[in-house]
Order: sequence, then structure tokens, then C-alpha cells
Amino acid sequence: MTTAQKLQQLLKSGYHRIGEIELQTDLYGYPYALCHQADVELSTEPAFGGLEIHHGPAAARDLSTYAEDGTYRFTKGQVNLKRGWVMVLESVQDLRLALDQFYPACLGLFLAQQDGSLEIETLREKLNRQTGMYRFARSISDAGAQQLVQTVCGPARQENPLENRCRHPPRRQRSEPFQRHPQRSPRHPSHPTALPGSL
Amino acid sequence: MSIAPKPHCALLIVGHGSTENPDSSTPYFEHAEEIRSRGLFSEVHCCFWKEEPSMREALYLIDSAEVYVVPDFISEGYFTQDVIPRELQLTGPTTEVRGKTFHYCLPVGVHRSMTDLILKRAKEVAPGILPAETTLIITGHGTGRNQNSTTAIRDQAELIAQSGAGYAAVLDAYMEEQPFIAEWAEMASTPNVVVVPFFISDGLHSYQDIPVLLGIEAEVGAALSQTAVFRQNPHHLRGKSLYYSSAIGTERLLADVILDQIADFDSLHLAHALPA
Repeated sequence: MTTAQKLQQLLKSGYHRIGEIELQTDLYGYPYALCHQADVELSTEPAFGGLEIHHGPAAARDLSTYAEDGTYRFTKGQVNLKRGWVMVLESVQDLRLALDQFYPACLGLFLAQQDGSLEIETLREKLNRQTGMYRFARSISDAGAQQLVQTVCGPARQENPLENRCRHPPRRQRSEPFQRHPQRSPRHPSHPTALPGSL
Repeated sequence: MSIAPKPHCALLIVGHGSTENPDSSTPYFEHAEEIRSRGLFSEVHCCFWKEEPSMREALYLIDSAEVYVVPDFISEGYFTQDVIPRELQLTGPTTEVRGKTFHYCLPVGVHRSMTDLILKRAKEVAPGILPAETTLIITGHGTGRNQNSTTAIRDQAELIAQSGAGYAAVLDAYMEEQPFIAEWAEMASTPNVVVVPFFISDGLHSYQDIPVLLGIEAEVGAALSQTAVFRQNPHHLRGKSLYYSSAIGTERLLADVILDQIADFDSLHLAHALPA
């Protein structure tokens, strides 16, 4: 089964959110639609509530490159994704392409985690194989590494968007990257309701 | 060179990327989209050294059992010979990694078809000037870490000098090793100088650093996509007319060079295994 087919299954089983992005199906005749999770209600209004409409996955990279304040989001797990847009997609392949731009490899990593094939690598292993200008990273102490993780990737770093301007913003949100409805309920195909809940 | 469709293979384009310049990875995505639109591979992905997805994450992007890896790099060197093989766990031209077969191609920059792209770019940036009154400088990064990193540029300078293009001189110059690009005016004896950055993207080095070294800018400015100012050629500096082009990798035809490298790989390593 391909990654796109597995994505389709995830949607059918109730998964509806990845990071800050809400995934909707069958929205105003479009098989798939993405928007910022804070814009879900707008996206279900007529004319998508005035959200900027993007057809196809091509705009995903531009939308995810800059935060609202213009800062460069070089790690896509930062929680400062722009609002004000909706992306409509005609196929699950296009949906996958878009998601891989918004959250690179996150879908594949999630699926690997689910089926037990994800290879876990410690920070120490990663640092020890560095060469060139990064070879000095090996010399960090265990305590220093713990402090680094805590101060750079910790939840406190996620809560203040301004803090995401740092050179080393958080790599991944600490919450579950994919979220699904507690219990999937049927939705009206042409007018989905706001999607509540998470795992 | 044309390439036969490989509907059961994936293409993985490896780029450098940047934590500081958002334009750095743009060409890689454009090359991927161009190749994807031709329907030659079952899937086309990008991965990066300094952006996401990382090379280690790339494995989780790919469904296909057979993967062509093409470094969208400008030269053989530290990244193509040390970093990419290490991160993707490649040990030779063809490597089995976790049940997949990876074919590791040469970087785009060392392919012979790059010569035509440089000449095309040089003509576009300085239309109407006489090559006989012009010095063409191909500029790259240069590094003390790997002596091969400047070989591709030196080779291209030599090929163009011998090509009959008619330039008064064709030189190579670098940011971090001699001959330094900052000394371009002293290196050139002609009234016109065309500088083509031998980089994949108009990122930190070619759009922000080298213009300072050339004297076009007083200090490192904003990234290309974050400025409304487009530089106008020629720049009248140090008694010469300087024409500075965008990076060679921003040429959309570079997608063809990626395919050329795959065709070359097949000819060199897989010819015996391919159907007639």
C-alpha cells in the first residue's frame, strides 16, 4: 500500500489534523481541502468565508515558508503557520504532496511510527557522526544536551510566537503530530461542521 | 540525452538548503516539479542538509523499492563524497538500505552539459556586448575541506575557453580560496566582465554574499524574495562594466541535467542489467 493510500485510510478512520493544518474531505465539491486549524469555521462558509483559495498543492511551499510576521520558518514544526487561506485538492496524491511541503516527511514518519518501523536515533548518535563545521557539536556534555533540548525544543518555546524567531526553533511540536476525532461522526458532505476534539 | 520512463523508481533530489535564506531551496523544488510533471518516475522527492526533510527522513518519503539519488550540487566535494553517503548510508554506486536499492549518481554540476548552460546564462545577462572585450568569470564557494570542490568550475572555465565562444578570458574565482572573487577587477583586463555564480540557488552566497565581494552592495542585504529591488546590469564599478547573473542552478533546464546524470549512471553501472 502506498503512502497516499495509507493517508486515505487515516482520513477515513477520523484523523483530521496535522500540526496546525486541518484536513477536510468533500468540501464544496472538492475531494480534499486544507486550511489553518483556526480557520476551519471560515472555510465551511460560502465562498470559503473569504479565505484566499489555492487550487492544487503548488502554493504549499510558499504558504509554509514565511510566518505572518515575515520570519523564515526553516523548520516547519514551528507553530506560527500563516492563516487566511484554504487549499483545495483534487486527489489524495496532491493532498500528500501538499502535506509533505507543509510538514516534510511527517506523514511518512507517523506511518512508520504506527507500524513500528521507525528507527529511533538519539541526539548523541546524530552528533557523533557530524564532521566539518559541525564536528564541535560532539563535545557537548550530556547535561548540556539536556539543557539544549529543554530550552530550544521545550513547550515554553512553543507558547510565545516571538520566541520562534530564534536561530534554532523547535523541531517538532511536542503534541501528537496527527490528531483525530474521538469518535468519527457523519458530516454533511457539502457543509462540514467545525471539527472538534483530538486524541 | 533522453531518458526512458522509470515508472517503478523514485527520484530523490538532494540539496543543501539554508537555515537563513528561504530562497536557497527554491530551485530544488522547481527541478523536482519539472521532472514530476513529465511523469518519468513513480515519485519525485527532495531532501536537504540544512532544511526539512533531512536526508535521514527521506527514506520515510519513498514508497518505491528502487531509488535514484541525484545530488543537486554544483561540484564533487565534501557534501557529495562525505555528507550525503553518510546520511543516506550509501557505500557505493548502488547500495541496499532497509530493503530499498539506492543508485547514487554524480552531482549535476560535473555534467558536460553544464557548459552550454553557463554560456546561455552569460549571453542572457549581457546581451549585445562583444565577447572579445569581455572576461567571463565563473565563481564558486571554494573550501579547504575538499580539493575536488573547485574542480568542476576549473573544468568549465577551461571548456568554455576552448569552445570558440570568443571571450577574451575565461577565469575561475572563489569566495573562500584563491583566486578570490573579490579581486575580479584586478583579474580582468577587459572593459566588460561577466560573472556567473556556479551555485544552485540565488541564496545566501550568490545573492547576498558575492554582491558584497564584487562591490555591488555595501553590506549583506535581504534575501531575493524579501526585497522589491531587482539589480540592474551593468554595474559600473572599478572602471569596468560588471554583469552579474543569477545562479546557474536557477536555470529550469537544470532538470534535464538531473536526468542526464541518471542516464549516465545507467550507462555506466546498469547497462548490463537493462533490457535491450
